[in-house]
Amino acid sequence: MALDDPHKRPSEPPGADRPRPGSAADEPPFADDEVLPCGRLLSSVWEEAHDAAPPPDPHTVSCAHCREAVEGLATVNAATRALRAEDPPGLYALADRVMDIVRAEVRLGRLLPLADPDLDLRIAESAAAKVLRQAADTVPGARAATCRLAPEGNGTDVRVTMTLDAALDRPLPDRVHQVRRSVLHSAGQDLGLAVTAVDITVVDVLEPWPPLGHAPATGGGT
Amino acid sequence: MTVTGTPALLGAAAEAALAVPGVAGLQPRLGHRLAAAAAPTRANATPHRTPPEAGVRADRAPDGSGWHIEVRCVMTEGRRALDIARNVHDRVAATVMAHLAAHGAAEPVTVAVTVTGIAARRDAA
Repeated sequence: MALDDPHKRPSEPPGADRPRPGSAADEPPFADDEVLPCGRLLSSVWEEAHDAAPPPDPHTVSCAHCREAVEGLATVNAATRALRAEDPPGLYALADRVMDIVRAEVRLGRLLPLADPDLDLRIAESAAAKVLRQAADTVPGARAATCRLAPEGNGTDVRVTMTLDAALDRPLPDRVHQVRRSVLHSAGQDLGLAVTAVDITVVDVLEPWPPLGHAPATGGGT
Repeated sequence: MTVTGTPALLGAAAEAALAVPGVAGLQPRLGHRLAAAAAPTRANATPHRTPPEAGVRADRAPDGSGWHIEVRCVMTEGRRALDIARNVHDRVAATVMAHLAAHGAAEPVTVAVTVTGIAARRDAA
């Protein structure tokens, strides 16, 4: 194929317009342009093939060299278009970066007032929830699943709504009470949030680990 | 105060906030982060390198009577967020007022502080 050897020159060029080094007038329009074995410039053949408007040159229609060159370039052209469609120069990467940033901003959640009614001090829900979940997790047999916070009223009051996985080795009300105390303590001590209520819903059973009453498997022939 | 003075004002406010014990860093505002993402060379080379003042915003008060400063910061574990936020508020307000006075443009200043994250100590180190 013609593209394999871009510096190939015709051994017997028909016509007198063979490019000669140093002769500016005969230089092809592009530095790396190629003269096909039939004497035509690759660039003009490609332009002619690419441009549907002018009537086709009888030579390029019948010439095997021209046809081969155009077919080769058409393949490259199709591949380039496919690649460009796949990732218009960095656009998808840009979109990913923008979406990552937007998601991070959304993950901050709503802004909640810290417990100083005189100053404009706020904390992102995600930051506060992380601390309160950790506080719930300090209670043995309890693990916070979700934690949402919402301002209540017009002041600095905040209401916490938490879902919990809890073990059943102790009465649930006791454990929930412990979690509530831990969350309230952390809200005041670690954050400085005026939490007025902690609504807790136990949504799943926390399996004790290692499982109680399950001796390691002894059978199996080993 | 002119617009050309604003970067210096933001820089002074950011410096004051960062000097408060318990402040791990300032959280760049959405606009800054999007601008950094859209600038391919900067985004590729240093995706998270935004200047600290990107975490501070300074606006004229709606009635034109002074400045309203917003600071977004990430704090370290181990101190009460409210206390750090109060401290940031006080120091930023004092610094900005001093900055304005030094430039012959003493005006009222209000400061809002938002805690956007609390970093574990090992993260903040």
